[in-house]
Amino acid sequence: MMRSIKAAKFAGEAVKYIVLTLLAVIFLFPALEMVLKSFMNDLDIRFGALFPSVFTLQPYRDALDAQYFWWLKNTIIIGVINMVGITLSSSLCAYGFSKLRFKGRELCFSLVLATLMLPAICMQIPLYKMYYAMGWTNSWLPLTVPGFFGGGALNIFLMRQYMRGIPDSICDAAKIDGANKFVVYAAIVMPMCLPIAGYVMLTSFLGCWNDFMTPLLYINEPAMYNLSLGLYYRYVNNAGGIPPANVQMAAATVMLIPCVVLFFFFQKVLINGVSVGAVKG
Amino acid sequence: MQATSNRRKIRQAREWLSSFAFILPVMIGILVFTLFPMVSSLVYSFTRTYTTVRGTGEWVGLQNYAAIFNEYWPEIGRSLGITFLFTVISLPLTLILSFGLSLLLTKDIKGIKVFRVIYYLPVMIPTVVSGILWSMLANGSDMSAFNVILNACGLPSFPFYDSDKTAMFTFIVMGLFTIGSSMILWIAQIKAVPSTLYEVADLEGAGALVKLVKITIPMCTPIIFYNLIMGIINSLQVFSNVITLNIEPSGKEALDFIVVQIYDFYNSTDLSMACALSWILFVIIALISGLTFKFNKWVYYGEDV
Repeated sequence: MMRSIKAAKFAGEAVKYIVLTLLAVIFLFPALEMVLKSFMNDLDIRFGALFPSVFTLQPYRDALDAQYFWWLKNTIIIGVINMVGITLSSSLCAYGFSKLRFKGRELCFSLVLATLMLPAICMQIPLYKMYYAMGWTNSWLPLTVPGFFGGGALNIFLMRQYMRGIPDSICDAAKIDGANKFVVYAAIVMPMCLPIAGYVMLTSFLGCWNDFMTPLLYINEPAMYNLSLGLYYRYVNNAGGIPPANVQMAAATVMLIPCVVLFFFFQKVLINGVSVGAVKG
Repeated sequence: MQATSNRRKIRQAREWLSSFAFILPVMIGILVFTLFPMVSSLVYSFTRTYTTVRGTGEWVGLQNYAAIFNEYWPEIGRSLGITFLFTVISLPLTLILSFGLSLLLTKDIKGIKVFRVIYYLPVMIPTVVSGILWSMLANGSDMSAFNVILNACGLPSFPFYDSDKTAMFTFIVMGLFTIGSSMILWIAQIKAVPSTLYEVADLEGAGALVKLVKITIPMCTPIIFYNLIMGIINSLQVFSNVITLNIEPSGKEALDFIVVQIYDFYNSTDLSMACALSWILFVIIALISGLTFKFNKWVYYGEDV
């Protein structure tokens, strides 16, 4: 009797593992095949091999030219600027919305949340005119300046949720000791918000890394492209002919690596951050 | 008397300003990067304005909207149909599958964290990378990775992205690879359900299915609602995932989403038509999410609310 229950439990576990493993294989297949294809020679590509017959680095030599590294450098610069701008700006605003009490606060906050509902395209297209009039098109200003003005409703919301968890008594104690609002923000609230600040920094960097639509609309100078736009005009929308699949996959693999590395190092920060707003909100 | 009350008013005003200063960046941001473009977009939609010409063009009243509903309607109506079709199929599928996945992943079995990481990984793939990758995996040729596998299993090749009949199916499947992002939310919510509820249910002798339907799902309604609203807003705006695909024109034709149309107008320098169409999209999104909010009685927000 005891044994048969144990056996049934074991069988149940085994089925679960088989299902989970099968799903894992399915979820991993696209990225794995991308990496495998990036090491193939042209012959393997032509015959549609799933596994390279010989590993070659030639696709990487072809894909990673000077221009690729130039775009990579552009992407990193834009990403770092946004990381600083968005984190700074959204934390300041979140502090205002959570720890300071003033007339009109709730109204302003609902205004911020309402912007979440607006379709990006409605704003991005007319903004072209404004950027054009100010001479901002074909520069990084449209990709970096908006981040300093609030850093996005979602980031403010997440930061505010987190800051609300910090007891007011700590802030009040500092105020009694003579600290002004900014000192309370910088010396007390921010150090306690490192997990969520880390999340915002990480996602804003990754957001820039992935950003495709904004540069597509405002930049048409190849020297100013980010990696997304560069790869798009080289491997998707290229009138001069598109390089073979192994070169495409090599370029794509290198672009994916930083995302995967950051994910593995900071998965806790990422996953906790995603959950903060949604569950407590 | 008068002097002290004035001084108090000044002190209050100064106090208010010093607080408001913290949210000043976002208020300026909303004004400049949200409200101003929304209003100017509406204005442009009543004019004939081009991206290549400085300033706003001549006022044409409702002409752009008339054009959308008359001469452009065959394409735009079709685009709207495609966009709705995608939303109606992909959103429930995403919700159900990500919920099922998270149910598998909340059980305490060994190695569960590894699986969670693996299922979340595809979410990290940048849009452009995903476009290039899936154009290679899922094109209609016999040499595409998916067809090589199908052929190896003795099945005939499938056209995937290269036919107008199967492109939408392929696109929906591609989207399902990123259900990891909703899965994370589900897991967090399921874990937040008080365990006492399950203990009581166990005492009453409730089975697994009853517990799922009577406890887990009702307690998860806030996440269902959040995923629903965000899902509607996002799937009506599908753009980057389509435009980064390098596929046959017939496949692209079947994926002619509404924002792709807006971009095409913008690309052909017709800013005012792009703005008119994006305002139509805005009204549609506002209506649908407004309705969803109106009928949210089924969402359980805890007893304290």
